[in-house]
Amino acid sequence: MKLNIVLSIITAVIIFSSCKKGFLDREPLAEISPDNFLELLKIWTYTRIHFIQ
Amino acid sequence: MKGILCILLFAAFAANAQNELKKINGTIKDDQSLPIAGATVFNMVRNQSALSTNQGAFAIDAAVGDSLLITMIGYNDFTLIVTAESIYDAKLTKKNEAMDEVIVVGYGTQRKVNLTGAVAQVSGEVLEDRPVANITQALQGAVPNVNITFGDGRPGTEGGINIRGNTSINGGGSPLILIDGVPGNLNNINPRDVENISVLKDAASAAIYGARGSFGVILVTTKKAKRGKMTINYSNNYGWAGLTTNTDFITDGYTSAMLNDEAFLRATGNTYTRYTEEDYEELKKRQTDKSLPDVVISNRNGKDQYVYYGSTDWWDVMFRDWQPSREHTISINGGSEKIDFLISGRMYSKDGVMQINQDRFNSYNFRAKINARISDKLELYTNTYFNTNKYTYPGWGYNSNFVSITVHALPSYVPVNPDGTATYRTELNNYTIGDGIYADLLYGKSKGEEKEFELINMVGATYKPLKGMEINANYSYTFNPTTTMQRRVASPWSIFPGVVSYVGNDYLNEFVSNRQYHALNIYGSYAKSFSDHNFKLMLGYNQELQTFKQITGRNTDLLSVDLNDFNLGTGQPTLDGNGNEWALMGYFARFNYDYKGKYLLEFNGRYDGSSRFPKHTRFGLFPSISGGWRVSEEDFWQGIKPVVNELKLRASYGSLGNQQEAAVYYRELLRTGTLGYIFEGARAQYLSSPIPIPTNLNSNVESGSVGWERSQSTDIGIDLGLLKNRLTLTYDWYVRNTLGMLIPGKTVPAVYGAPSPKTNAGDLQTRGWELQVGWNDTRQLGGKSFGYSVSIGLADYKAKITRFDNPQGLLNNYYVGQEIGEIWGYRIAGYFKTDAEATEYQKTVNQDFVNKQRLSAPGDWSKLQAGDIKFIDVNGDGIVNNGKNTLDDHGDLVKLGNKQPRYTYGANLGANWNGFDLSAFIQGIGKQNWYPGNNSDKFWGPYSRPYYSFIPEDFPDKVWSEENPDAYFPKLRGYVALNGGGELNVINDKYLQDLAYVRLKNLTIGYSLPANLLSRAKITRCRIYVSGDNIFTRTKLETDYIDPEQAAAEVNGRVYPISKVFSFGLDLSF
Repeated sequence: MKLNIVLSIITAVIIFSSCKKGFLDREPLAEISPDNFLELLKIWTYTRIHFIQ
Repeated sequence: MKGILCILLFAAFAANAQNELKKINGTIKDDQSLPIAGATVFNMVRNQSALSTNQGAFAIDAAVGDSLLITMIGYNDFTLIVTAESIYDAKLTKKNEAMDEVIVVGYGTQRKVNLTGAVAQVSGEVLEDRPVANITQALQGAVPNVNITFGDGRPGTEGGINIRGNTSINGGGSPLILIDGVPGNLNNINPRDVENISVLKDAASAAIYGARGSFGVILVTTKKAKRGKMTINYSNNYGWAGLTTNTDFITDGYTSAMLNDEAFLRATGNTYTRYTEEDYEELKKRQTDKSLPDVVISNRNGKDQYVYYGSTDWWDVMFRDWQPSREHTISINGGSEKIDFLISGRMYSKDGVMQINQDRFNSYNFRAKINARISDKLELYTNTYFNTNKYTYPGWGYNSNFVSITVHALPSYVPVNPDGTATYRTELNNYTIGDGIYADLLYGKSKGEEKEFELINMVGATYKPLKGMEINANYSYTFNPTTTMQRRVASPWSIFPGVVSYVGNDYLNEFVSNRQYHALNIYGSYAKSFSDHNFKLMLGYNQELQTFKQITGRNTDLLSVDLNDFNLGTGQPTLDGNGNEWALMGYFARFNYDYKGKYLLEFNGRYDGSSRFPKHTRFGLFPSISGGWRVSEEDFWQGIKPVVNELKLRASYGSLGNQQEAAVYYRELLRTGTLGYIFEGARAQYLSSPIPIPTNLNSNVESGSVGWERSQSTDIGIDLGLLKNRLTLTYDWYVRNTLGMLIPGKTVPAVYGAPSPKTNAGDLQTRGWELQVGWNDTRQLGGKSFGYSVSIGLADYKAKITRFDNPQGLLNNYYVGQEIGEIWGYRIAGYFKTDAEATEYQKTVNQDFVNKQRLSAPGDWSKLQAGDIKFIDVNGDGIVNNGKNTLDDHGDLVKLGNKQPRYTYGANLGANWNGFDLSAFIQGIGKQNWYPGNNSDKFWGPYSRPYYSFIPEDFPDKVWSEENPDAYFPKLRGYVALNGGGELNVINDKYLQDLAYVRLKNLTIGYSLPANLLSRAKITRCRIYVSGDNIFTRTKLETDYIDPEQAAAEVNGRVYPISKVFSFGLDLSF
């Protein structure tokens, strides 16, 4: 019985730690961030997309 | 040897005797020794059942040692072991629903007597037998301070839900809704699947949900499978819906044209219809001679055209009086010791009000639950739910049908020309009849469709390794795609005989979205008692991930007017997309302690992380504490316990986070779009400059960065039970501080070129209370048991701003000390009685500021006259205006009222006797101010737009004239309610309305057929009922052409009207 509990706790800890890493790092899916300089450069150089205020 | 044989034979005989079936007879009575009819007696060994008669008697086959399970709605189950006796008496005790009930709380349940937080629970029974599309429609008013509002009455419309009033001025603040532990939409579930709905109102009870429970939590628990004999329940409901408001509008062509022309003339110098004197003569003739044609061909401007002299009831042309609805539900459940199941399904459909190509709402629900007890310790379960609904409607937008038709469709115009073509223009003036909506509907090619699918599957396990310990783990997945389609087709119309023109563009819009959601919950609890000290600890982990993706497409000029597909488009197609995702992760804990059940203590806490915040402010800790003292358990109380059997005092405090509004404010993002001009053969695309963000992203909330919006709430409550809980009372007082609301920070100058970034810059305080009083009793009436109950709930709240960056105190923005919903306006001293009085008043008081529309009128109409409104110069400065529109200088503006609802209440009355049952549900609000919107056509009539289609029949009697100097409305002038600065457009005390109303929300009368009659057909229950929803309303509102509920949600009321419904149905159980 005690072994069951210990195993349950170990499993839970493994799940928590594996889930936590990077799980909350979510990037925008549909918009460009001006922080991404290379992306901006590509848009500026190779596309005809206008930058407007 | 013989002896042994004899012994064996005797033993065999004895064993046989043990298992021999015999007829068992008995009676079932309640605790007052009254017979209970219709109780089910189920032999759990033989899988057979019987029903008790009106005298409470039953008979069933059973053998010695068999277990008989006796069940009856409203009573505790009773188990009887068969012995050698043949006659048994079973006494069922009534469920003490008032105080002993078990309440569903976050990640568990608790006895009501042990609750320390503010939690209200409503049984699923109140949702049944109502002709409603979804639960929000039935839940309105059922729980004090759960505020449900409807913006319109579209079939299947979803109510907005709020718990305990104002939450945050940034728009966030919806409660978290969990259906069997999974976030979901209340409107998407089968009302008959619901076992109960728990509302966690205060921070103490909602803290376990941390980041998403800041504005309350609604927990919906669906019915569970029952072990034993399989039962089948079938119910249906057939309803007929009409409108709650008066729809008798002026249909006389002459009266309507005169009224509108007069108002238009006084504002512009011209008539609206441009009817000639001869035309008016023709209209007048038709008031008495109905045989004259509505349409004549007349030569105008050198060309033959149709001229309209109609008396059209455009409301009847557009909308139906009655709309049927139908509902069928079935549920099957049963099971053995090891496995049980429940399967339920529902079909609901309601037809809408549109006369041509009637709109229709369809909804289908399916649920399957299976529980398997693998061992005494382990149980596995699955809960699958599928919902789909569809709404189809004619026209180019379902709400456009209710806006477009309100203008330019005068009764003197007709919908159809003699040649069958639709009307659109009169060519006498430059306006378009109903903006072309009727021509569009008559052609029947424009249409829209909204579809939603939702599939939720949960799998889980419960493990009980030790006595008092329980570990739960579950995973749920939600798949929720939606599609909408909107097609508009150019529609034919005619004004010149034989000449057909077309109005409108041809386009197809489609929108497809897909939401997927994953949730993992692992939590365990352990309860242990040491002497009189009882402890319970619960620890858990939760993580959630939601992804959302959408695609919007558009094409124009399709090759077919009947087929709706992008393949057929010949125009320039456009395609847009969008998507986002967010994740949550939380660790939570609850610790309960009580001493002898007298002193109760509870700690809740959650450490929550959200992907919607910058890394450094991502996690937050949200703790709460609550305590209770059951005074009635004290020794000194025992003397009065027979009268006051339960008295509990409660108090709680907690701090919760809100992450609903945060996502877009901490990242700089370049929005993309498509420009209107063509660049090298294609529409040009652009990236716009990002909205600025606060600079200090790395610091905490206090320094002005973006972080958690917090709500701290304190609750003090009392629970009372008197006369053996026949009379119960629950009262709660609360204060909730919403701190760090995400709103624009410092005001930036216009040359900055962008809006001020949002930060945690504002605070709000909401104070309120709620009271629930119930009386529940059973008496004898005519030798039969007569049960009756009354339950009344009353609630109120007020909210004010406690921090906001508005140092000048500008009234057009929030300011510190402002009560949310404040209405400022001017005071009126009636009308000028004569032109001379008006002229004289102008010498001392200039009221041009609130008469701007009058000033632009032609000729003498620009002057103040008899019958015009006289504004009071409150501050005595000789000018009626708003000063600098600040708190220090607000000119003649005064606080007139508040648009927040006050004193919301609901009352439930129930009674049952000899198979008959009756329930009534009354709901209303005590006070709520409302100033009609500038497009409120049914209120203002031609004072707003002097070409409205629907002018109430009693309207002419309300217009000022020398013969009617005390009329409700002043001298008729067009546009004065529509345009800014018009005398009716500015808020004033005369036309400020009170939306207070009382409404008989539901009345149901049912009859259950006697059990002995049904038992022959193996039917356990058969009930028929009639029901009415919204069937009676009293309101303080000036007009009965506007529904007070609808006015509160939509200022102009030009939306889908709210319905009243009459229905009947059947409940059947096998």
